[in-house]
Amino acid sequence: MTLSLQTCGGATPAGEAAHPVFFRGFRAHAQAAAAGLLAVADVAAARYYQPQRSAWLNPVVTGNGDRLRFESFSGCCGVYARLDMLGEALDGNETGHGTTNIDVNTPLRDSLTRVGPAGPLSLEVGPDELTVTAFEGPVVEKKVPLPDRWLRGFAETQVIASGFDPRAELSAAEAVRFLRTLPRQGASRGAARGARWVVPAGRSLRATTRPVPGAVCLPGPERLAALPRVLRHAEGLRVHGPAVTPDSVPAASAWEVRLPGMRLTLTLSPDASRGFSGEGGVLDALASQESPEDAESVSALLAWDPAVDIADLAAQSGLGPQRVRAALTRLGTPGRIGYDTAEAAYFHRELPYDTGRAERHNPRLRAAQALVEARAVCLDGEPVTVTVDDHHHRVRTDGQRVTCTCRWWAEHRGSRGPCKHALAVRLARQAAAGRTATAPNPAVASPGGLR
Amino acid sequence: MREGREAAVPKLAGALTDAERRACLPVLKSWRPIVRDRWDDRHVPVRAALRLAGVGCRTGAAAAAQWLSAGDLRWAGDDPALVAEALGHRDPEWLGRVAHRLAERRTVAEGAYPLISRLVHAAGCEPPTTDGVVLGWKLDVPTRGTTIRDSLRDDPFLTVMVPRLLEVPEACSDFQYSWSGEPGWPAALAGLAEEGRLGRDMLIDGCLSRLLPGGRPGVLKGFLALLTALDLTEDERAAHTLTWVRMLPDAHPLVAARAQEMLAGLDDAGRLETEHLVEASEAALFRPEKKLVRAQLSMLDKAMKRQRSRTDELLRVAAEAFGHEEHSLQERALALVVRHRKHASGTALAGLAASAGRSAPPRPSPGRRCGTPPTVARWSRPEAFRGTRTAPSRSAPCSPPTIPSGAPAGAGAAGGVLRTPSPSCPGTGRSSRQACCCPSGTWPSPTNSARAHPYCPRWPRRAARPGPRHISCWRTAAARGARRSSCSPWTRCSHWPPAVSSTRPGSARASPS
Repeated sequence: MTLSLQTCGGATPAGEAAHPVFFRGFRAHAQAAAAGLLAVADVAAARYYQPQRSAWLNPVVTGNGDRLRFESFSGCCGVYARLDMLGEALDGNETGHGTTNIDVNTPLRDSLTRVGPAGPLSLEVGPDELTVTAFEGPVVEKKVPLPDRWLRGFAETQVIASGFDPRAELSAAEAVRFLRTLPRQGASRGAARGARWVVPAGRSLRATTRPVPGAVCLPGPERLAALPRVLRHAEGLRVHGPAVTPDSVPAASAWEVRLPGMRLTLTLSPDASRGFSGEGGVLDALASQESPEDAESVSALLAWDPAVDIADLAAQSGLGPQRVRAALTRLGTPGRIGYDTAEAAYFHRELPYDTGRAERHNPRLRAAQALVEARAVCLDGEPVTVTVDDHHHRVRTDGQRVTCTCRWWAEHRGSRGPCKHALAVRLARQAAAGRTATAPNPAVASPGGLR
Repeated sequence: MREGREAAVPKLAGALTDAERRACLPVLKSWRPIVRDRWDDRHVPVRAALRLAGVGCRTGAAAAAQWLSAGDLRWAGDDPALVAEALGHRDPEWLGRVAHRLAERRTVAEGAYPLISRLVHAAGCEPPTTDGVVLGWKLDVPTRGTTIRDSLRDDPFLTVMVPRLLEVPEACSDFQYSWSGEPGWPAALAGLAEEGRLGRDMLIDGCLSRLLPGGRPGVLKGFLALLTALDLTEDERAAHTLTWVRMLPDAHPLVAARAQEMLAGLDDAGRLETEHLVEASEAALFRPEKKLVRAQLSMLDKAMKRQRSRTDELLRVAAEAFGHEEHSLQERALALVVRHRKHASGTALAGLAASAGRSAPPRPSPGRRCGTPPTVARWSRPEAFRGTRTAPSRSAPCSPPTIPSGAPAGAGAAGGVLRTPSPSCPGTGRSSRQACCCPSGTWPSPTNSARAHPYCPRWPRRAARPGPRHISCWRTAAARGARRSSCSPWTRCSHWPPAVSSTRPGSARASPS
């Protein structure tokens, strides 16, 4: 069976291409590969929070030289799925470099479901000509542009995932047993929904009522619904998560199923109602003034590497590892950097969008900039007063921690990044510091409101 | 228009020339914001009239469609006959373009179907087949006073709409319903296929491609009803063998069960190749649904009986169920393997023993489900399945009950308690002496006959129960004051009742001793 994945408009090392070709060859374990692709497409078509019918979005495919990565977000942006097809299972001419999105439509899903176990799958990412002939009848191509939420999600996931460590490893049989005990998507009502904690116990995982050290949060277990499809081919399950303490709040976690020659990773946001796009982990990097120059020098050194080594980059660019890390976060905001939890390494992808788009389209950063422009931040004394309409918010800086009196801060307590008032204060301080450096007479923003 | 005489507008608007239309349009456009802000009853007919006048004065197809679908004008009146009259003098090809433009608007197309169909009839063009139009067409099929089949028979768009109907995600959720005097959509479609008005292959393919990827149970039930109504012939079933096979791994349980039925039928008719049977069995035995696994095991049983030559291959597949987490299913698979081992080759048997060794270990938490350890694990030695004299379950280490020294020797005869090392109930996992399992706290009591045995009500129905001889063995042991009886309450031995042993591999009949 031949599977041709249509690509549309992508970035390659040679510049923009309408239909870039990344791979042409054979793929062993045809059924597992098809199941993995379907799982990624399932996530793109699903909406786990307030389910409704959403448009099918196209998974993003990246050729990384020795592997292919297929990535997608759920409609609610709370689940990030990535299928890494590793080099050993790909048998063909060498895998190209570049990023684009493939079009998974009904005929393609139908034929992926019908893939048989016998023989390798002939896989083409990027066809010779525009017409795809692998299927009977014409393939209707609906181009769905990559939404802004995905772009912000790419940026946030790599920041969140870079704090993960492997927490548990299960054999295939135990993985099947554990995942089958989780509530199904339709059946999740009441107590079944919400975060639960699991801790490695013996060969399997045990549920705990509270975050004990070593535990992993499983926020919204019904969101692992895409995994049962690949369980038949699973070789094991690995769980990654951040370090937790007994007073931790629900956190994100990554669930990685090892498949023959592939890895399927689902990263879950801390709550079903929280999309990755709004987590706010990159806002500090976006708001800071230093990283753009560093980011530019680092980006020149990236070449669609399957694994970006920070020490190497630091040596090549002459920047310290800390600055390289900040630069990578900055590069991650337009989705140019991803993080692979299985290898604990960054990888390079290049979305066909300009660097400024994430910045322009980040609502919180935009609101903060509007506050600064309206001279709503009064920088005299501590706490700083931010005047919005007819009321004031006090922003208090206590070392690294910035708190605010707004409702958003009261709800999230910094778990979703700084609020717009804190960001505005930060931006205003940077502007003031910049003026102090250039002009002898600092112009402090006058107190005033948004009228 | 100002007086709100809606019915009079089309006659005036229809007779205009293009130049006059262009001249009128700015006036009408300037009216719209005024009308939009008026909410009193008098303005409702004015809005409706404005809608007709506006579309009558539009010269571009896209602009006309936009005017027609404007929400502020549409709710005031949406009479397709008047719109068609207002557009009556236009070029048919232009009308067709308006119909297609309307159909492309997702929010309007369904509601605007009556108008779209009129325009298409007037234009004589092919009808648009967007999702909304298909949904509108389905709603528009008259059902009152007639059956769906009769209404569809004369429908001009039947052959265009039905293939799309099977593709639109929301369209077929009512296929599962039928009521008195109305056999429902599946019967209507199948009937029309019989009359030759619809392609039977098209219906079958559309139906199967909806069943394959899964979806909402309501929709899937509808398509299963359609499949039933179509009543596939054996040739058609055989032509879609691969589809049935590929349905088994991921499809909804209802759909997988139907696919399994189809495959069983094909296998009975000798039209299923071993390769496909193997693939289907591997997929079905992996599923968590017990019913599907049981059905697949019996399908394998029949297949092996029918054709002994494929025993080796099919036994290997049946051994996949040794890894199932349900012990009852593991044992069913074991029984199947034991039954057919005579016809298997030596290498196949060694492979079976190896897979028995890899079978699922007992559950780690004894609190929830415990009781019999998996019988399958005891068959993991290489010689297990070989030779008719070996009785693996017998040679397995048996843990007979011990009687605590505190128990008086004569207590058994006097109706006392035979204390076993707290065998726990497979249903609840609690010890037999705990209140949940045995209210009297006297289990297994020598005075109790087998009939009055105080089993826990939550004892699983299919779990094996000891027979009278088993109990009498404990009784004798207790009467003798022996610390050990020759058999344990939890290990099957020759004392287990023959009714159970006929299906249990570890019992006297299944294991030749």
